[in-house]
Amino acid sequence: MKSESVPLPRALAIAALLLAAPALAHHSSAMFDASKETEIKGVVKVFKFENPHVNIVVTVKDEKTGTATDWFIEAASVRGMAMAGWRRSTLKPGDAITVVGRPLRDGQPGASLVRAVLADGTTLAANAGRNY
Amino acid sequence: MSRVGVRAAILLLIAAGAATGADAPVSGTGALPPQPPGALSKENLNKKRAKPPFDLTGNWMWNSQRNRDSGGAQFFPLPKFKPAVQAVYDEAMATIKAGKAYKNDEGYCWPAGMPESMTRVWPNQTIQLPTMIMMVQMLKHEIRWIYIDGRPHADPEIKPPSYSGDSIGRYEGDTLIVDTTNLQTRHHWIQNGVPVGEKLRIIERIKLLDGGNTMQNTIKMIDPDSWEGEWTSTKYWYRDDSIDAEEAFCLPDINDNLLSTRESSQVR
Repeated sequence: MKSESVPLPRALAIAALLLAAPALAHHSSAMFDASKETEIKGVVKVFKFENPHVNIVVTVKDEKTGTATDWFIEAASVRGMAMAGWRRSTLKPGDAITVVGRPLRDGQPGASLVRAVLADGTTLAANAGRNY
Repeated sequence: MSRVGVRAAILLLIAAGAATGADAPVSGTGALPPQPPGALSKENLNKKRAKPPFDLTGNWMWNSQRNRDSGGAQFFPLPKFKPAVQAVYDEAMATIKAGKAYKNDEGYCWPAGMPESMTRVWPNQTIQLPTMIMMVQMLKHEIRWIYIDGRPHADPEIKPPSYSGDSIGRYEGDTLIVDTTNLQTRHHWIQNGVPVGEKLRIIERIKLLDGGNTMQNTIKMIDPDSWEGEWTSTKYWYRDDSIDAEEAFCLPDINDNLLSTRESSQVR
């Protein structure tokens, strides 16, 4: 299930994308729409707490059609996430999760993590203001 | 010629070939041309030499805020590119503006290489010896070996181009000058849309500021095939010796879960 997109200050987001993002990641992040946030509510399928990018695969079920879609969530470094409270044991397959992320511009089911709400209601940010 | 004659002729030719091979002089004895002593050899480490003005040993972190004015991970100000490079650069900028990555080889696990490997936010763990400075960029564990023992550049005939290049350092007053040549051009980028050319030469002028807590590196790049004159940009790192480096390989199965590295998110 996805919520409506939430616009952010566009100029600021684009400047950050062009200048900062390429150094943060092992790949470009031009394909994520930094001006939007999307909510992805589902069940954890994969949680890889590894460098250079922690990643989460969330299976989202469409209540009307019953079809399931895997969403691929890209996150920061292990250290960046650990500083925000994430641990290797934070998620396991089958856990309910709500992810807020910046979606891929081309509509594929992928996003860059902004924050996540865990099954117990805990909210964890993508990082603590720095990746490293 | 009869069938027997043909067979005899073939046998003679084979025998002659074998004899030629056996008698041919064998080139190479397994020895390399004379080489400088190894940087880790006691002979080299213990050699008397002038005390360097500073020791770069430390954990250097990319100063994102301070580097913003000089383009962040890009090297601003840009030079006047030659038409062929300008065309690639324009295509890259248009691609990024359209929301895709442009030939993002690093995302496909190719090395960042010099100079891009210096611009990562991951720790740059540096160890200085009397003969060599070794920089390990944590992201993908890219290593620079900067020789400061007075040796010349390696002979490209026996040391092929590489992503970190061949780096020779020397001191000029309070500045370490590092000259890097012989860079690999395959899937190797200086920054977004600017490929590494065969003639690229990088001259870094490195200083320690703020009581040894800031590393300043003025990076000058020369490539007459790719741009006019010199391309210079100054970058800063801060020391944070409280952080230890960790493993950070680029792995294909991690990329499986990163849609941003897939073909659909790229212009290849």
